[in-house]
Amino acid sequence: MEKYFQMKIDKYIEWMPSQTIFRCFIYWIVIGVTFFCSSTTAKAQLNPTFKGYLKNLSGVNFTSDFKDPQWNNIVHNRIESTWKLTTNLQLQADLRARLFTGYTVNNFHEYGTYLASDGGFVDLSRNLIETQRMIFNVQSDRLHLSYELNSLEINVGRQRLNWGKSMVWNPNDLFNNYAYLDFDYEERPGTDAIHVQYSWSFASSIDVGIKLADRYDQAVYAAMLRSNIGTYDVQLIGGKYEDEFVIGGGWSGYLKNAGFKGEMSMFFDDQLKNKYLNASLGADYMLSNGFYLSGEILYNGGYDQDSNEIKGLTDPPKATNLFIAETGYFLNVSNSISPLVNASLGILGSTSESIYIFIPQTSISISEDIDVLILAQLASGSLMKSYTTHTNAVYFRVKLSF
Amino acid sequence: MKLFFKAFLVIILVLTHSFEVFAQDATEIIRRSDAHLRGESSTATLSMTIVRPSWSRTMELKSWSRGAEFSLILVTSPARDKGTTFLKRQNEIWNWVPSIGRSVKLPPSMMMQSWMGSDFTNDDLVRESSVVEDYVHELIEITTLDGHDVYVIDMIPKPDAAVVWGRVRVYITTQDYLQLKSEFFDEYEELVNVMIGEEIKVFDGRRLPSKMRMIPADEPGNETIIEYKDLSFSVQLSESFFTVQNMRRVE
Repeated sequence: MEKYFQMKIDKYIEWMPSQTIFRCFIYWIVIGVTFFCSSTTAKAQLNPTFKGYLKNLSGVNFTSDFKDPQWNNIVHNRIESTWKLTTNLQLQADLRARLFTGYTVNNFHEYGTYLASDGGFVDLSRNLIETQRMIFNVQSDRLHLSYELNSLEINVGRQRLNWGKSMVWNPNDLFNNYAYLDFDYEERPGTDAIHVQYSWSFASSIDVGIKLADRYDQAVYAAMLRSNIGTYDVQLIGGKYEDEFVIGGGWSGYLKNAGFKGEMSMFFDDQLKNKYLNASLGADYMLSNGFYLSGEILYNGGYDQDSNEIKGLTDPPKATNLFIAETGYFLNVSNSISPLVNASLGILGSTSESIYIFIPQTSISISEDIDVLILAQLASGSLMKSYTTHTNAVYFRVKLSF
Repeated sequence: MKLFFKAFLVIILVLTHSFEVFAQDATEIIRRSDAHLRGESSTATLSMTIVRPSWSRTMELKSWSRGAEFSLILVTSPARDKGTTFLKRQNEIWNWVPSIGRSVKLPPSMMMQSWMGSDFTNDDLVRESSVVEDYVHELIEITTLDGHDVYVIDMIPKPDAAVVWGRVRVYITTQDYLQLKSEFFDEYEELVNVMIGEEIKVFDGRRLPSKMRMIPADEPGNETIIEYKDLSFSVQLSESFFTVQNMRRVE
């Protein structure tokens, strides 16, 4: 046992220089981007492409009987930029700037600290303005170099590694899980990682990912083998997830005319004890009248009753504990009323805990570049009520894409 | 008498032969038209406009295809959908959503649904059915359409073909086998869609209609217009171009 800990410490010491190198690398990119952005000659040579959006999200939280409204607002600007450094080398640098006002800012003074905490290996989140009435936060969730040579691709920096197959819960996503209820973050979080992919047929590849962290037991080392068997895309994963080991797999294919996908991950410690399984299973089907049905179930074997917090619903969960209950289900029906209007109704809940969240939403395309979203998250059940009195939320969002 | 007999024989031969030609022609015309339209590999820049009585939306696209089996479509505008790609390999479709960095496989039940809100279905994109192999062709008449001499051919799906239509009537120019019009009927002989090819232009040495309009018969004021800005047949695309990995790389 002692030997094992000594080994861990040794690894941690080995780990140190690479941390510094990686941090320097990221900051070098930040400086590089700033320099290039300000240089018109570089712009002309590198031919960068920019896209993004400006959106305003207003939300009101109510009690279960729709009383005591608490209003919050976020003005959100996202800029995504791609820079072709050479034929094979590309830089992706995205920035999200958000201005928060309203009830939460006014009443929770630690909210600024929460927003400024980056959670990544390199701190790329700053509150540029922080008063009692507003917080202006700027964060980069994608900042990486990509090198591509034929079938080989190497990404270094803050990036998104999508190893998930399911829609709501992803036991295979060892790097950057996301919270389904955080609907306003479509791009989903990134992770500070080194990622190498080699592919040899249209859907076959081997991926190796390393998520960097301050401590060895917070890092992730994992590999994934992907292939296509018949009409199924399948994948196998394995590696070290923080202080546990993991093996698993996922698939997406067809069951008759329905889409059928799923993921499972078995986590265990180095003594091969404390094994538990996280698994999700989902299907989707489109009726001939245009109604789109989708559903997913979760078994969250890593559910930890003690660490049970409401923020687990809207903050990215860990692959080891994906939900605030041991089981979860999500059912959704959506329909395009016209090509411009889509409406859907979802329910997120659990069979093992008393929690139900109804999610009706409508999205409307106002023009080529302007969209409106009206969405509600109406929660009930004793589990939810034990956390908050304001269980209902209604949101209105206008988004201008450019 | 001998001469008369010989002449009679020749006429009969010519007539029967020409009848044979006439019967084979319908399939041959479709074959030539299909080959003319597809080519081996092609790349295109195009726009798709969805027209409804009170509004319209335009989308800019780029496409790469190899035969009927492989294609890749990239949305370049509007900003909201920029970078979205669709990969078709045989009868499967993957959809790459750049904002979330993920590819999604479309379930077969989604095939008959509208493709990106247009009057085209996903199935129109991936249709494996061959206009040559899966139909019985009958030449109805030769007439004129918009100043062009056209063959009018009825295509009836073979019993075992995976085709949703009851009958398709196509109008193909006699001169260079261009499809100017297709009428799609359901199994009850009701007209469902009309597709019109117009504004013939020369792309990479081939004359082709540059504008295709898909008009649903029972929804007045609705149509989807596809306009080719550029179409090239000179690129050789290998099968390895049409991969899940390449969905996010094309630009």
